[in-house]
Amino acid sequence: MQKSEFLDRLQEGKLSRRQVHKILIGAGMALTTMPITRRAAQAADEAIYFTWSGYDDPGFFPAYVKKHGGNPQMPVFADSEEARTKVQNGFVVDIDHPCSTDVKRWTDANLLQAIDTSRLTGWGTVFPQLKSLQNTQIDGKQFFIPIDWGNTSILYRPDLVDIKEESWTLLWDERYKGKLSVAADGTSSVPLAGIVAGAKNPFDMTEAEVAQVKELLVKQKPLLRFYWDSNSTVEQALASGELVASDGWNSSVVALQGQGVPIKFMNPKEGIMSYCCGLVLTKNAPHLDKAYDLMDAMLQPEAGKWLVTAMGYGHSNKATFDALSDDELKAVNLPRDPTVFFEKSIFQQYIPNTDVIQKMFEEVKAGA
Amino acid sequence: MAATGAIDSGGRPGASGWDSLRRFWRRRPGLRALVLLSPALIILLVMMVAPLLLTVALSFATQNGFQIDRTPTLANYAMLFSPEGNLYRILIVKSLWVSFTATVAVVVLAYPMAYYLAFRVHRRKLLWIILITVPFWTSYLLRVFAWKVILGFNGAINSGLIWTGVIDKPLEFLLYNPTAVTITLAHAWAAYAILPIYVSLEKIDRSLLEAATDLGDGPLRRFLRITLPLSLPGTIAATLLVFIPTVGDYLTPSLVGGTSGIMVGNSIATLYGKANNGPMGAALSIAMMLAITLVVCAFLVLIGPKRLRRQAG
Repeated sequence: MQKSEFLDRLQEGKLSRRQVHKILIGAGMALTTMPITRRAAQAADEAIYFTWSGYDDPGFFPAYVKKHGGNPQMPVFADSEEARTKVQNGFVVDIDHPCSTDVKRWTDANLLQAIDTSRLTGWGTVFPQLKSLQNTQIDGKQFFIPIDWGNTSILYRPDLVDIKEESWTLLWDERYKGKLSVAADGTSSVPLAGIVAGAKNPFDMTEAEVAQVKELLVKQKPLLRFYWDSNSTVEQALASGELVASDGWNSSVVALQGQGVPIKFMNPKEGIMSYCCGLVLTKNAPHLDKAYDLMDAMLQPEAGKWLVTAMGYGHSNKATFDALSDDELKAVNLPRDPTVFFEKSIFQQYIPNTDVIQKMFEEVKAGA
Repeated sequence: MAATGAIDSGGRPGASGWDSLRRFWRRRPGLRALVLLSPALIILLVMMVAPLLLTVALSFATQNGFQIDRTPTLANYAMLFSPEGNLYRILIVKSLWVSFTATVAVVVLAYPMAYYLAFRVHRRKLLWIILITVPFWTSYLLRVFAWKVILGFNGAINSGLIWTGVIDKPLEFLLYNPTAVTITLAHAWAAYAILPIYVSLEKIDRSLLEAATDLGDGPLRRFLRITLPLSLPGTIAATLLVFIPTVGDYLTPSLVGGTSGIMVGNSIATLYGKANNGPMGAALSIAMMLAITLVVCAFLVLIGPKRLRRQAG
């Protein structure tokens, strides 16, 4: 049947039932077979890099693209626990992108292999503090390659907030009732309250300390506008003046200053919180050589420079910092010499009693 | 076959296998129905029944670090009824309550719309129905976000009011509270309520209304005695269609509900994800489904006998 003939008949309502069925069968066959052929064409044999959505940008690994002429395969996740569960249930990847605090969950589940750092040309100039983060080395073997790091502190509007001393207690200040916010994620907001409560180790609190922190969080809840789920929510609310202060990441400073919003990133007297995320190599990585190429590409200063200037994150390689000007670093609120900075900051750690913390924080939210 | 005429019923040797198959097919309407239903049934079995059974099975297991211990135990359910399970009981009750208010809002808002559509619109009804479904051409997430933009601090309502000079500071009570959740859910589920109510109103025999008027009923009495009882099936369907899915919803409360926005769905997601306790999450899901079933049964028992009496009388 010609196409025009088909349309004419359709308009006149003269198609027979048989003809309609034939067309439907044809359309169905086409629909079901098309995706298969397209998939087959796409399955290039590149390293599989399982990462956060938003991190799947070639700016992270220019050397890999140059060498292999294309991007690695990049499935994305929204939550690092979601990623681990998926890999544990048989999803095949070469490299995953967790944060240092998650690595213990991966090694405990026996999902990783040790990384041969002699195969990474950029490894020599990586900041030593980042090489030996808690739980990332086992028996002298490296299981985690640090890549991006950043700081968590209070973002505040200096034009709307009046403080004498920079402290985390601003998030409990009654004067700003209804204009404050903290993260909805308990693994970040609970240790923060732990720091304020003076817990010995805010990442491994005793039962008594947890109870004390719960009281603080209950006291805080009526002062909050909302618990934030994404940094864009915080940025928008701070820009409009809906919020005057919230905990957040230094990358938000870049975004807000770009919009001309007066914003300050606090250096609290109790200490700033830092985090570091990076790469782990799965036990049965199918593209081992290409995986090493990708890890090395992400350690290179050219990748690091892009990470700092475009995303506002810190890079793990000292060579990157050497290649950046003072102005470029100041623009994103990163220190000239991170080694001095790392000594003072509170590095986020694995929380052994995560389930207790999560449940307690949910009880606070639910008012139970 | 036509050429050989009617005598052919004995069947030619070559075609007998095919013919007997055809006869077999024709004589068994049950088989025919089953085959025709099978695509839907298979999808239902694979996508609904199997995962549900897996969830039930998982709820009797225990999480042991990164392994799941499959020895059957009632520990997860016992936990829900222990003092420690207080959080989950509160969350289930709270979720039921939020859904209940949203459902009432949806049905109350949808009924007049459906009424207008059924009794006042005489031309281009299809166009009206399509217009009602237009908001549903965008995704659920986008609609929730749209309400964030409308109710927000510098959103449509606030900037409009500031522009006209009614207020000089944005109203903060619009967003991030249970009312915002009710408003958003009421809009997001409106079509699910309008359409079933519309169908049952449309089916009402107009001569019954005329008879009521002839016998002296005013508009209000006529509505209460004829229209409302006869539209109850659609209204009940609408109530269930909105109530059941919204109990487990967690997107809306977490986006527009503010600090008290947590519902049982959020807790289930945390248990499966960050808290790394799938079996407990499964038990909580089953408990939530049982709670919904109980509430729905109670609702049907409450409304059922009355409706039956009215229709019989």
